[in-house]
Amino acid sequence: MKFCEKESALLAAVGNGHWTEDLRRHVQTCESCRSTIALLPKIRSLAETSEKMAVLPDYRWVMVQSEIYMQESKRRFIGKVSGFISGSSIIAFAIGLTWLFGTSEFSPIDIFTHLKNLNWSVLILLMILWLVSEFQFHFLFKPKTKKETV
Amino acid sequence: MDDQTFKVFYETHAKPLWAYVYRLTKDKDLSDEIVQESFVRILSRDLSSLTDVQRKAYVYQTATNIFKDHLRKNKSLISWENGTDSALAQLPNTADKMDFEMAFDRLSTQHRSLLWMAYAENYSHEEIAAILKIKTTSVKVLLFRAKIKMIEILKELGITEG
Repeated sequence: MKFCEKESALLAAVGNGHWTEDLRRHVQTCESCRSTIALLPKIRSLAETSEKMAVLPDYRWVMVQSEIYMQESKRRFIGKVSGFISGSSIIAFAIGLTWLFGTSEFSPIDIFTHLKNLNWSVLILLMILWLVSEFQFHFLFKPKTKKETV
Repeated sequence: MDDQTFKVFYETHAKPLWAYVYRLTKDKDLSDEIVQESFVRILSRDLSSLTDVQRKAYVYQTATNIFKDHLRKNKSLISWENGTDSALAQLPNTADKMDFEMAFDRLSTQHRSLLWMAYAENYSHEEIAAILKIKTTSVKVLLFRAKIKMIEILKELGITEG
């Protein structure tokens, strides 16, 4: 069987019912087109059978699902932005501390020394500064919970 | 898309789309999931400028992509282009048990998709190319190969074409 360039025209004719004489004559002599004509009703019959098996929800249910999907997409986006801002704030905080206290006894560069010596005054101060820096952004960009969105 | 437009669109195209997806997946639950996700995605995008035909093509394209993603994520044994369902391929090769449906399911996923869109949905080669993101010339060749393969399987199973 050889590839036939008229397959596209044949399928269009089947779809719209506009058969030209030329196409009719061609189909009688073309093996590829005849096989297409033979397969078409079988595949369409299979389509009808398959459609009958479909048990689909009401369109309103899909609309509700879509609403949830869109709200979750927004939540994910806000979460990403919030995460980025949190990360940036921690880096900015670290740079700021190093700049301010880099040479003093509160130097964050010596954090391991402070930890090792259990220098609580410095550790608590660093912790408070970190919490203030981190959580102001956390509360500003707090993403809604799934329960709230639904 | 407003409620009424979506209602008409959904009620017209959901079942044919489900049939198409089911022919690819052979799994009712997965087909339900893919069809619903496709329509959810349709609603989440502004497609008001598209015609009904374009929206239909869009929803078919979305469903096909979701199924391809599913194959990739699950590292399925069935590939889009080459594989056939190994379970189906191992069905007993007796002509009396086989019918056209089983023969169709022996095709690769890509061949099933092409034949379905061209013959059951009557999509033009250009539309199929847009949905499957391949060239129109490739659609012609692939569709021809799919048809040849289908005829071979039918002959192999002793089912007459005509």
